[in-house]
Amino acid sequence: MNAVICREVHRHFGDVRAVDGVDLTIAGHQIFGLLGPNGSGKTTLLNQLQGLDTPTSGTVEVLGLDPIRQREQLALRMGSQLQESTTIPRLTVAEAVKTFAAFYPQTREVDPLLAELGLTPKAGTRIERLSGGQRQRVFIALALIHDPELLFLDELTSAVDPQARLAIWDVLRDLRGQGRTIVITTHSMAEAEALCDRIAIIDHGRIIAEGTCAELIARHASGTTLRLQTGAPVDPESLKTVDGVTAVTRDGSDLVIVGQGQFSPKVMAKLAAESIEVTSMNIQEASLEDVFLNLTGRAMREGE
Amino acid sequence: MRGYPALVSAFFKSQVREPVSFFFVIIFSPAVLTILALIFGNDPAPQFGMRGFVDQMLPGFTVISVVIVGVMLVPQNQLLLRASGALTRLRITPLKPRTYVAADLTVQFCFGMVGAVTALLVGILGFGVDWPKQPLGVLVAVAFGLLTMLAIGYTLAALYPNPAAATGIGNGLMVILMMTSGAFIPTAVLSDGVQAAFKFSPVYHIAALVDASWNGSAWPWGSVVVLAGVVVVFTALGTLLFKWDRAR
Repeated sequence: MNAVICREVHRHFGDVRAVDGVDLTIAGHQIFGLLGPNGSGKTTLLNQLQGLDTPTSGTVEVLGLDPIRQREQLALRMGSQLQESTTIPRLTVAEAVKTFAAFYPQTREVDPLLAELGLTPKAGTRIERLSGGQRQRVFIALALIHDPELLFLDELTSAVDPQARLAIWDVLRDLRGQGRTIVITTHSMAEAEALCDRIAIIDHGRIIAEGTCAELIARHASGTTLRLQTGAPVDPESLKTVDGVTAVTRDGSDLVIVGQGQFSPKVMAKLAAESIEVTSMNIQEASLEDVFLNLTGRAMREGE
Repeated sequence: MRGYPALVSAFFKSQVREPVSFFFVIIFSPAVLTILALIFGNDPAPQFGMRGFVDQMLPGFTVISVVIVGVMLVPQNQLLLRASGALTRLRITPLKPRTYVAADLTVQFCFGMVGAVTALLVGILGFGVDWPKQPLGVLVAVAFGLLTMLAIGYTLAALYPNPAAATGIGNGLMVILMMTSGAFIPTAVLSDGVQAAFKFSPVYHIAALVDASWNGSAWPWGSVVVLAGVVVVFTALGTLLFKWDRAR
């Protein structure tokens, strides 16, 4: 059974098309990533899926239910962690989880859940006094307290340190292993590559590509990326004429050259011929970053 | 009403751990009463009909906590929960809106009652004010007043654009309403014109009910009708305008 089906979903705010004709099907028992830069429409789309907002047009079906009209039924089967992770202030971890447990007819036991998420030592600590990673684990606990089959996690690891991020990824992999469907939004390529079974890349409210990480790279970015820093300015246009080069962009101070075959020595030769010193060089195989670059003409971190 | 007891417990804990609002609801009114009583004493004075300052002011002071709850605490609390996204988080549970509202109102009502009763006890036990002739009537009047202010508070919570506005506008509104309670300015010494203006304030009518029960007389029906009308109108407005989320 499909967990999520969106058909031609639009959400407009005045002239702004935050979600612009999304067709999307998410199968069950997997981690599905909505990947895109800030402001691309990920959270707005997620709000439609969770029944927090009504589409301007189009239909949304989650676990076979209408998220708006069957909100309460869906709430029993879906767990959520919102982008702004917050709850009733000044509660301890255990108090917050027990409060949320009281909203559901059937729940897991609080203590084993806290233990599973490594929160037992923090059960009596107020949530606002926890570190970013610990706080996010509390919000995972709130999302899991009723043992939902579907989880929506919005930018779960965006504000946590790398070590905590790895720990949270392990938790999510365990949850997938238990047969749950997890839909995450992220603007982290590394997170999407490391965690997601399937990925939809969203930009300007549209899904511009969808598939497994390997499929997306094979389809949209097969090739190699050469990242250079040079001692003198280089006109990107001048390198596009080099044999094998398919795209040249700037990413901060880096010159990013994507190409096929043995294009790297030719690029280096051309720069040497123009007496331009290469101060730093890095060669990478194609990644999701390249997929995004090729599809949108800009790097993910450039945002809108 | 699944979740009601747990939510009441959570809101109660959250509130008592917030020192500023706890101070304003429970401590502020008795503290101001104590300071003024220490300054002015409670000797009989002709301008108060040969009653003492505290004797004259205490009924009005019981209303201060009621005003603070309605104008400040309810809207600020709800706006902060809404602005932080906590209300949105509650919204994606099976919690029914009426359960949230009932739990919130229960806690705010209890805090308002405790604040009012504390002020009463400070006046009676601390400064020798006579017990009200109808103590139960006073408590019912305070409770009626609280319902009125809670209804107004829910409407204000929907109208204030953000927590900062709730604090700024709420402070101004609170001072105006407190003035009309008779707690700071004895209404007996005011001109007829000012007294007529005060009658547009719901707090004037709450104080009138408290005062009537205090003195053992029947509630003025005009005030009862005004307050009942305010409860009906503002409950309808509060329900109509209630929102979980910030404007998108």
